[in-house]
Amino acid sequence: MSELKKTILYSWHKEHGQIVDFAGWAMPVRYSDITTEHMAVRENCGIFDVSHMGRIWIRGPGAFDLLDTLVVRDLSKVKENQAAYSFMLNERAGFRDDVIVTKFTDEEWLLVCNAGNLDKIWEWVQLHGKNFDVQLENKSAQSAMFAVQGPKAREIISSMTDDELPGRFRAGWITLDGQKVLFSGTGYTGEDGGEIALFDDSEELESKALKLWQSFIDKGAEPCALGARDTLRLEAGYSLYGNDMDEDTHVLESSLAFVPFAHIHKDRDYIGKEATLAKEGKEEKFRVFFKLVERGVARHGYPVIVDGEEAGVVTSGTRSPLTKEFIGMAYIPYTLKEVGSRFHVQVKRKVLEAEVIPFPIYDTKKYGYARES
Amino acid sequence: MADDIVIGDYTIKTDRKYMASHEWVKDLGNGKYKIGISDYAQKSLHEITYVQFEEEDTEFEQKEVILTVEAIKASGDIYAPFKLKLIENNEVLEDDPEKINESPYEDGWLAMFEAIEYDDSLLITPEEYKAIVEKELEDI
Repeated sequence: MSELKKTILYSWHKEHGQIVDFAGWAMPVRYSDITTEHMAVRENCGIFDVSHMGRIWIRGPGAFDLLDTLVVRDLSKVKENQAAYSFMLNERAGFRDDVIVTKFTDEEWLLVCNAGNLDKIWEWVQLHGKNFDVQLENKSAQSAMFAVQGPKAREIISSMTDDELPGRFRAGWITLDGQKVLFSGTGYTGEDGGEIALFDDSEELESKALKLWQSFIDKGAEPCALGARDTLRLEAGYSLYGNDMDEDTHVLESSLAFVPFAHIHKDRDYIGKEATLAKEGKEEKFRVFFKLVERGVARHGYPVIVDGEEAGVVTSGTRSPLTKEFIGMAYIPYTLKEVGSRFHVQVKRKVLEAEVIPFPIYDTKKYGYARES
Repeated sequence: MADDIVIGDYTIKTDRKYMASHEWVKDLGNGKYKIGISDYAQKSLHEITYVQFEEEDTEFEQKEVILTVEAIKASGDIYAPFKLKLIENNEVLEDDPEKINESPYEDGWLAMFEAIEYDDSLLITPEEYKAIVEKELEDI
């Protein structure tokens, strides 16, 4: 795996976990086992190394205009210190990436993108940045980022700082365990908590990151790897770039083109606008969240069957570690997209019935960021 | 009975035959056999979440898939060691597939079958299976 990229915590991962190739990165898939890590996040607190994701600073008088051109969300509605999830599209209205843009001021923004898309997105931002008065800085390699997630996450983070933690989808600089970090009330598990970014251009980055990581573990956060990250995001109904959508997925057929993540009719001529609006009312397929009515594990690439014919494809699937149901995401004919409609999935040697369900899979009174604690 | 073979974290029971594809096959007498997966196989698959069984009383040719074991991140097809008729699936696994992780050689057995045409060309001894596991561990 010598050719794979590594995060600053690679040595720790190698010592404590099983390493796999994830989008060109040598990353841990599990430390203990996926179910234990998964349940730690649903019931207590887990910490993930997400340093492999990209972090690009966009500063200058043209920062807002550049970003508002690159993403489909209306960024004029985003307040200072707000973290906003959205999508960058290509000219065909396919997904370049799903991203989080955080606004500090009109002239200072942070863009966080997927690890596997960093090179592509960095080129894309530089290409379009030429038309705007901006300074761009790719600080992905000079920083570390951790996602601390779960019902106890805020309590643990708060115990390491005197500063007040920004709320959900809010961001700000705090001093954590003696180090200045950016805290964002974001994550990708469905649970409350946040993501913590440590920027440091010096050679001390590794030791500082490791110290912070270890502090969280000492305070009871379970180290969690990509396997649990995948089952958690699936239970929550969140999409994974490369699995559930890519450059060829039209945004209007993705199930993601809704406010506030996407304002497809915003005034700005964002990239992909023409192809987005041209598709309105002409969608042929739609991505849905489903559960199998019968037992079976649907996986990426399995065919969707309607009236005996192949009519779509499964993009993700697993057995929910929490509810034990067999869940997944699939592209199916647009006319079947409503909750409750049924279709079939070819699972190995069997054709199993599936039902479109709302997400998340769990009871939101008991689990997730909106739980009644 | 010879002692079990142990390689690191993995145990290989010596009271049965194996296949290079990591199944074990135990002769129950009267032409009946049980099949399961080795300790090494269950530890490589990790947390098993589901077993896709085939209909009992179905006949299978040698090397045909007779069931599939699904784990969170991987799955494994189980092959017929010879021409056989499936007589019983281990239905306990419907609700407790993790039994395969807990007890791969005993409670976590997968299926029972009768030989239609016994042929031992795909079966290997515990010692031969040990060499296969050692080779795989070297390659990791």
